[in-house]
Amino acid sequence: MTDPTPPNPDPTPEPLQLDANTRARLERHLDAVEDVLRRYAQHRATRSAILDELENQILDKLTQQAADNTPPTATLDELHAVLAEMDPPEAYARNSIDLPAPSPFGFPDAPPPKLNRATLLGLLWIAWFALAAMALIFLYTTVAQPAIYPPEVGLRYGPRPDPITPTIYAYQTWWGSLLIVLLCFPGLLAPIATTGLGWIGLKQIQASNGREHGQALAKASAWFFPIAVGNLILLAILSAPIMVLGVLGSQVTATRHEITLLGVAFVLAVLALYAAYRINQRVITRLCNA
Amino acid sequence: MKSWSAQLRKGLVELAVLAALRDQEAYGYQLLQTLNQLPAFQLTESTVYPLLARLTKDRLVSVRVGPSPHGPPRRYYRLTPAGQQHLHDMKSHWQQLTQSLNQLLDSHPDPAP
Repeated sequence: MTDPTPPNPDPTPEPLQLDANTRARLERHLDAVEDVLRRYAQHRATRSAILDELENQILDKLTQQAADNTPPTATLDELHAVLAEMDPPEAYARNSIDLPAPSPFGFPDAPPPKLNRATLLGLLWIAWFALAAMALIFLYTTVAQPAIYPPEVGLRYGPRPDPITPTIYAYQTWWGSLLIVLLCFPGLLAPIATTGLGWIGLKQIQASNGREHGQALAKASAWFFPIAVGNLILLAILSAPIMVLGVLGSQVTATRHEITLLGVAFVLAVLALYAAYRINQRVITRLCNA
Repeated sequence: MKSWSAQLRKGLVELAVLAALRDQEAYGYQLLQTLNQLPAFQLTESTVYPLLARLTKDRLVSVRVGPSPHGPPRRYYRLTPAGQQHLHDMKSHWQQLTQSLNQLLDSHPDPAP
């Protein structure tokens, strides 16, 4: 909640000057605090509010110390001295903001946060999906009972006759059907289930007041299948020129042209993979920082 | 005794922060300094800033963003009407509690150590 009222007319002292090393050390401290806050599923706006306060406090303290310098400057040693007086980043875990409001009687230390169950289920469903896919391949390629052919009919002099009993694949057996219904069908629902459970997990973690953790895993669960599908589409689009080259390659006769086309296709394939990698990297980084 | 005292203090931080913001707005570090002037409260930033963020989220305090001389914008906190009401309720509860406790403590004089 932010009021749009005009800023406080504080006297504005000269800004503090920090050299690159000191600024980098300060940033590292703030990053370490942010990591702890992120681990405790703090929303980005909350993290930002806490980090702004912390940075202002550190800079205020350094400014007070550097009051005699013109312009005020602070060294790395002075920053270390200020940080030594302050709470270490781990302290933000103990005082997680989303802990329930304290009672006037005081409260015991909060129990350690538990891994969110929806998130866990979503991730297990991915494993189930893999298992279901493997089971389907097995069921559709495994012969449970080979075909039985009539005896004494020569294969040598004519076409093979119709079998007395046809080949029975594993998926056609009663146990194959049972596996399909109990294992494969629910497993193949993973793209919907895992994505949904990931989002539910994220909401539950944010609403859990720090009692549940696993935000990164929940994000992984929520985005695993959308990213996988996105990658398939991306690779299909990026590999289209390579397929065109393949068609062209099948029509040329000169070896020299074939080699040229092969080289171009290889370069395109490398570029396509690099582009997919960079797009994934950007998408995943943005999701992690959200 | 030390643990009990620390937990009691921890439990009263919210009341102290709301009380410190009752009459005036303050930014985080300013509020921390105000609270640390009280001998019984030795609070640190890892307690107060997350609490301010939670109070903001609960709409008990509002935030006005103003310029800072050297860092990110300063956030000035002020009690909202809901915060005033919450403070009033907490204060009443606290006063009842201390009154009852004092009554109990006064009726039983300290045993000799």
